[in-house]
Amino acid sequence: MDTLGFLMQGMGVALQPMNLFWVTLGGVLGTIVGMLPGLGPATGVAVLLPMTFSMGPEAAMITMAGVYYGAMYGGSRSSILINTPGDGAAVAATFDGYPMAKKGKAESALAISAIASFFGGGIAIIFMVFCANTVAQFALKFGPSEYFMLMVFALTATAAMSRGNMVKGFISMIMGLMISTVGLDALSGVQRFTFGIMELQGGIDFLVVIIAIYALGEVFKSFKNINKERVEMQTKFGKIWITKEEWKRTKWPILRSAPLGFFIGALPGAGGTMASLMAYNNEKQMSKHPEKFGEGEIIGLAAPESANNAASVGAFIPMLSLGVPGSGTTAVMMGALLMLGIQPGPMLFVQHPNVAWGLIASMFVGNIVLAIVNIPLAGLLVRVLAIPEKVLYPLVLGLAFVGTYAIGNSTIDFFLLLVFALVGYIMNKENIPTSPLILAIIVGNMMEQSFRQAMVISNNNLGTFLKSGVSITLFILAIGSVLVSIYKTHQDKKKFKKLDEKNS
Amino acid sequence: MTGIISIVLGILYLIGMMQIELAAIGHPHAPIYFPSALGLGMIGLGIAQLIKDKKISIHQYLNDETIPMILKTAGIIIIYAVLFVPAGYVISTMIFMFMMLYLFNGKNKIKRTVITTIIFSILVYVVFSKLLGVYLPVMPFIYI
Repeated sequence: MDTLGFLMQGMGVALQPMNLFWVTLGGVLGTIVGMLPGLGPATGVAVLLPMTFSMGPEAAMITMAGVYYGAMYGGSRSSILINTPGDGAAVAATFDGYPMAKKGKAESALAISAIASFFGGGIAIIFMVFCANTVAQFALKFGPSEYFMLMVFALTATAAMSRGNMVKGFISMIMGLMISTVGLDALSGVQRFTFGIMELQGGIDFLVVIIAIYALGEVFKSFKNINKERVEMQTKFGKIWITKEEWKRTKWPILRSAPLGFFIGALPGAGGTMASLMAYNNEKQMSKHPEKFGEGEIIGLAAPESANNAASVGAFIPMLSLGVPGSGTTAVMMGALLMLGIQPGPMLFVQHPNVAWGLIASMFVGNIVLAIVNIPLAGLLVRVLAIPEKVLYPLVLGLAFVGTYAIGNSTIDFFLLLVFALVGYIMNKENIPTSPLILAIIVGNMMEQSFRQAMVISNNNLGTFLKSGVSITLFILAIGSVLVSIYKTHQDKKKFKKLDEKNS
Repeated sequence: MTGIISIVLGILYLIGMMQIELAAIGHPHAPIYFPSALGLGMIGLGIAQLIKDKKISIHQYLNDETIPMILKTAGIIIIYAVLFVPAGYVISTMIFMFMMLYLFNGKNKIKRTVITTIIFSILVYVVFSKLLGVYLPVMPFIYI
C-alpha cells in the first residue's frame, strides 16, 4: 500500500464516530489545561493520561493527540489575555498578542492565533504524511549500534541545546540515565538500585517522573507568585474574527513559518519554544517596520503561532518512526503507547499501521475540530482563566495523584512523585534544564540494551559503533551539536560584552 | 551548588552500584558497565561545574520563602499516601483537597474550599472509576 492508501486507512479509523468524540473531548480539555498559566501540553497530556487507560491503542493515541493539539491552541490564550504563557512555546505570543489585547484588538488576536495554528498544524501534517513512513523505512535498516548512536545523538543534541548551560544540560541527562537504571536489568535479570523494595523491581515509571516535574513542580514554583495580583482580563468579546486586510498581511508569514516550525520540531530537544522564537525573529528581520514588533503587530503573533503548532506535529516524527521522542509531550505520549504494549519505532508502521496512520489522520481531523472549537467558543473557553490560581493548583495536584495511581496502582508512586517534585524544585533553583532528564529516562533502557547487544554481536569491539555510514553520521551530528552550542554561547557572550560596553 | 550536588550524587550512585550482584548470564560485570560510566561521568561533570562556578552558594535556599509551603505540601502528600488505600479514594481525597485548599487560601473562602473539595473528590471518582474504568480504592463497608 502507498502512503495515500495508508492515510485513507487511517482516516477510516479517525473518522469513526467514537474517535471523533474522543478527539473533540481531548481537544477541548487540552485547550482548557493548556490555557492555565504554567501548565503546558506536557502537563496536560500527563494529567489527562488516565482518561485513556480503558481505551484501545488507536482511541488512546487519538485522544492524547487531541489533548496535545488543544493545549498548543490553548497555550496562547493566556499569553494574549493575561500576558502569562501557558508554556514555553506560547512565550512568543505574549510579545504582540498581549499588546494587541491591550489596544482593544483581543478578538483579532484570538482569531489569528487560532487561524495561524490551524494552517501551521495543517501544513505540518502534510509534511508528516510523507516524512514519517520514509524515515521509518530508513530506520528499519538500523542495528543495535545505529540505535545506540541515534540515542547518543538525541540526548547530546537535547543537552547541548541548553546554551550557556551545557554542563548542566549533561548533568540533567546523566541524572535521567541513572534513574533509568533502577530495576531489574533486562538482559541479565540482576536487580539494580532497588534497595530491597519490591515495587522498584519494575523500574521507576517515567510517567511518574514527568508528572512530578511538570505538574507538582509547577505547583511548587507557583508558591512564589501565589499572593500576587493577577492582570485584569477582558471577559466580554465582540466577533472573534480578522479583517481581510489582516489576513492579507499575515497569510505569507503563516505559510513561511509552518515548514520552519515543522523541521525544528522534528529535531530532538528543539521543540516549539525555539520554533516560535525563530519564526518571530525571522518575520521581524524581514519586516519593513521591525519597530512595530512588540507593539501589537499582528504578524508578530501569527508567525510564532503557526510555527509552534507545526513544531508540535514535527515532534511526532522521531517518536513514531524512530522510537525516540522529540519533545516532553511526545515523551509522555510515548509512555502512553508503551503502557498499551505498543513499541513506537519503525516497526510501528508495519505491526500497528492502524495506530500510526490513525494518529496521523486524526491530526487532520483534530486540527479542523480545534479550529471550530477555538474560534467561536474562544470567549467561553477563556472564562477558565478567571479561576483563581489558589483553587486551580490544588486541583492540578489532585489530578496528578489520580493519574499516578492509575499508572501503577501503588501508593509507593506517591512518595516517588514527591521525591521527584523536590528534585524538579532543586533543578529549577539550580537552573538545570529538565528536558534532557526526561528524554534520558525514556531512552535510557533502550540505549543501554542497544549498547550491550552491539557489544555482544561485535565480540566486545567498541569500533562497531563507528562501522556503518549511519553510525558515523550520527556521531558527527552529536559532536557537531556540542560544537555549534559552544560556538553560539561564545557569540552570545561577545554580543553581551559589546552591549555592556555600549551602555557604559 | 550544582557541582557539589552532582559530585555527591555521583559518589552515592557508585556506592549503590557496588551492591549490584554479578550476572549469572553473559559477562558477570555487564550490568555495572553502564552505571559505572554514569557515576564517573556525573562526578566529572560536577567537577567541571564546580570549576566553572568558582564559588559555592546556598543563599538561594536560605532566602527562599517558598520552602515552608513546600514542606507543608510534602507533609500533606505523605498523609494522603498513607490514607489512600485504607480510607478509599473519595474520603482520602476529600481530606487531601481540603488541606491543600486550606493551605493555599487560609481561613478566607472556607465555603469555597469545602464545596470545591466535595465536588472535586466525587466528580473525579465518578468520571475515572465509573465512566473510564480506572481502578481507584474504595472505603471498606461504605464502598466509596
